[in-house]
Amino acid sequence: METPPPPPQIERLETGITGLDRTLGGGLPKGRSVLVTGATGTGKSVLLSEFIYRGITAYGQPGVFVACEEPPEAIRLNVASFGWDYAALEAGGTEQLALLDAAPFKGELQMVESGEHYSLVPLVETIAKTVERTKAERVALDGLPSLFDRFRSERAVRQMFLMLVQRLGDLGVTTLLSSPTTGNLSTLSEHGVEEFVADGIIELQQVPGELRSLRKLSIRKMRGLQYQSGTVEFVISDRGLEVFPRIPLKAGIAPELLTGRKSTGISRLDDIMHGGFPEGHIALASGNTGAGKTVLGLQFVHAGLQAGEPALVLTIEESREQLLHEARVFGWDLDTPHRENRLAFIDVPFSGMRPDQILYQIVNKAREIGAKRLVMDSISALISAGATQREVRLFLEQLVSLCKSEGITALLMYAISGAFGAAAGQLLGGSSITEARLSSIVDTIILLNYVERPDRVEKLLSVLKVRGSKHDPGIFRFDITDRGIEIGEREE
Amino acid sequence: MPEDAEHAPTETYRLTLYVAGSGPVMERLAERIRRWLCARNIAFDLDTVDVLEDVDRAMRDRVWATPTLIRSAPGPERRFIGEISATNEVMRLLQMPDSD
Repeated sequence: METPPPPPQIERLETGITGLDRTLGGGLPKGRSVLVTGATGTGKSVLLSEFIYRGITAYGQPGVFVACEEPPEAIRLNVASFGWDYAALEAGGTEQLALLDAAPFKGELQMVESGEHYSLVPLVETIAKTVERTKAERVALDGLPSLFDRFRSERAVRQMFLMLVQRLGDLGVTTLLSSPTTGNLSTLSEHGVEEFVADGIIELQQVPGELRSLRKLSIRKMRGLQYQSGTVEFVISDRGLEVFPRIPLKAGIAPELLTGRKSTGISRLDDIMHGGFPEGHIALASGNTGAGKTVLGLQFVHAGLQAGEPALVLTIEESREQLLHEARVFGWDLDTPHRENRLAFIDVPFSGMRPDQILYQIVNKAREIGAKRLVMDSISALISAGATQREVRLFLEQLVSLCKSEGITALLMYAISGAFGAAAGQLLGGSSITEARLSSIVDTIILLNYVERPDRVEKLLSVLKVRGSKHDPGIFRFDITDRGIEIGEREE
Repeated sequence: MPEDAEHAPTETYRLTLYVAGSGPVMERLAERIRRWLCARNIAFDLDTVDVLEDVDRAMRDRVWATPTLIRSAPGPERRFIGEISATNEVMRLLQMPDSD
């Protein structure tokens, strides 16, 4: 019996735009046309310009940029602000870029109802000729509907759009077409023309946020290809677009694959947890400011580096210099592993940070250095900076997925905003509402706190839970000595 | 005699018709325009361009769709894009004085 041939695989074309290819599941469908929709100012032109620019500079693929709205001079000026020199790429000899001025005739125009002989042949043939001349592999049509906006018939627009897309397909080029979603130029999206014709749709949005407006990108369709559904965030920086894809949730990684324990660097604490943090799990250390969370984190990182495990430290509240200095005080040499890229830091500015963007940086850096340990100081700063409960939860869930799939053991700090000196009773029952919500996601919870005594202030530590393991539920005194955290007597 | 023949302009009409592919369609269109202008005693010069043959010309003249009829004289330039054969409307517009 003959086996049916496998379905033809659609090849991918990497755009080269940071994070977009991962969101697309590898790139755009090669040789196809994808529509980019969004209101004015959402970044459609930047996306198209960068698609062409990266093609030439990163992949050696010549490109044709068809400017249907703005004159070419305006396009050159716009892209220059990202450091992309279109004029140089257009220069003769090795013409890698052609900028076609397809703006509609600006003079008096009379539009007659379209009929069967009506076509966009001149435009299409001009593009085709330019593609052949430059041996282009990428085409961007920016502001396409401005060519269509005088057509009254939906059928005519659909026919022309279909012809255009087919011809581009025959040429074998990968095409991005931009189309606004508001105003009177919405012919394409309003009539659902693209649903029938384009092979994919990328939608850009700009929504008001806490501190600044957020840019969001969603892939609404990508015929025959796997991609990340849902909405991801992106920014437009001075280097162009940066998209922050979601971490793919890898199912099917059996938890029993990770059975090891990771030393905290504090042997008594390891004993309390019956062997340290479970590998690939997320631990939360909760406590007041100054209770010793940062020291605990540094000690955990140092112990890992001693055992040959690269570590990643994400710091929101303290700079890497401060942390490196603090480690030196305890005699832990973190400078050497930092120089050797076995220890990496991500400094996140307090204002304007976004969970998705932080996560993206964590994933990239963790993979780069092969991190086995992760410290985040702190998760509570994320909440203070305006992330919603839902966002923090989603962030943690994705972090759990990352840690499980990459075998990373994480320690997250959680600062309790409370009065100095919690009582022992509060400590025992002492998880705030927020922590209680997080506690279902994290695997281990350690509480650090001060307790006022008549003659002194005591530091107390207790382990609230260790998922899947026994632990000593006692409350222990501890001190921060010149060797780090040292656990003392059990509090009776 | 056509009703508006007495308004016939003295200046020669310079017209260019752009179509995709020469053949009966192009010929019928051109013929229709010629007949209409002759009937009104309008002096004209009609040029036809097959954009498939001369893409560069279409590009230079910024013609992106066919059929397109350009009246370059008398000025200012007027453009008619669409199914020119379908209606007498375009012929009326073609003759429209510039002051309108």
